[in-house]
Amino acid sequence: MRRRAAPRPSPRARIRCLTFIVAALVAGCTSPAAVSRYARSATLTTAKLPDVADALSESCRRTASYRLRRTSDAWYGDDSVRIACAGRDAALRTVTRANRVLAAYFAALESLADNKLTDYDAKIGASGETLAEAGAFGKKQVKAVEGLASFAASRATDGYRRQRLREAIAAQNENVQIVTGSLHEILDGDLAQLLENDVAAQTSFYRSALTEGSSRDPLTAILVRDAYDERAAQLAQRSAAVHSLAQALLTVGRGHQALYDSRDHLGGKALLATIVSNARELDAAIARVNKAF
Amino acid sequence: MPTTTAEQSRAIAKLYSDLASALADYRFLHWAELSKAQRAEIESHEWTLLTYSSNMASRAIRLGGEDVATAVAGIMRATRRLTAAVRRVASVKRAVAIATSAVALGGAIASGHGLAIGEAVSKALSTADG
Repeated sequence: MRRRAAPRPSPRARIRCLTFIVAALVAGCTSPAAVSRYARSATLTTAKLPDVADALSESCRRTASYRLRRTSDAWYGDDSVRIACAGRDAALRTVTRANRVLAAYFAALESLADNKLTDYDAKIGASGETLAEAGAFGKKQVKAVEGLASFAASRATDGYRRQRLREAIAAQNENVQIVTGSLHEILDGDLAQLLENDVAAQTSFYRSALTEGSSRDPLTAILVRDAYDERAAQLAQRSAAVHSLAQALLTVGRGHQALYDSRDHLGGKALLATIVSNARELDAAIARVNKAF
Repeated sequence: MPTTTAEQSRAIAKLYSDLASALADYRFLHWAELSKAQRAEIESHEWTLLTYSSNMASRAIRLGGEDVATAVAGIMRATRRLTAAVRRVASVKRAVAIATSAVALGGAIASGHGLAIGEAVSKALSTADG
């Protein structure tokens, strides 16, 4: 018995099939798994920085109140504390503005890799300008922030697609290196110094009070010492977390560099392995920061 | 305030912080020998120096950066020597003098007057050399 030939697919079905194969090939050529994984971890890393800034601002207020209590008998109000911390707050705003632009870039990169739209924060575009006006960053850093902001804007308005990942990574790599490098320096140097000063202030405050009064009221001294130990442990954990976050920002920079170096083979297994290892480092750092802040 | 680079501001912040710590160590180590007024004076200087340090660290974040290398180098040299002096100082009077000149130096830096900074630097150096 002759076997019946399989029915030939209709022209429409053949077109559908071809379209599917071409789409799969295009997707395969620019497989964004590495980019997607990287951008997700980078986004989580930058998301922690505002919490660190808030904690440092709060820490400044506590330190200012210690100083006011130790150096004057006069009553002080919230205004005195706020004025004492105005400089630090302004500096922290600078950091969070630059970080926000970086976060928007990674969110855009992730959505580009996943081929989905994200909300674009219109305020991001003004960040570079604001930083320049405030004289907050040097020209190089401001230019880098503006570059990232304009990428995030065009991502939302022009609808970048997967095939443009390569160009985006190539165009933004230098900017990402500058901004992550600057934020690393600020966290590891300046914010760490501010925390170190807060630690010194807290120690001085408690130690002075305990030395003056512990013999008069030993039971209260025990409670005060317990309170000090608790706060000292919290500050020590926060200092360590700030260093972790600073290192994580360097890891973010290295990850982007790896994407840049392999931009012509974004679907490569070697790149994915590098990014997965990079992302694991970031995840561990984020966990430490989450615990402290 | 003279324009310093972020790196220079960072270095000054660290030096002031170290100096404040050295004064605190001195105060607690010589607690019994110091009068209440002397302790209060030294502690007040510690708080001022810590505030200067935090201000410099905050400034480092905000700076764009031109160089005033000579002034900054002088400030850093003076502060380093003051810190070393506090650590080896034996007399209470000298400890207070050193703390006072460090605070005056910080005030001069904050004022931004080159002449005042120069004077404060040389005064601090001579106090430190004792």
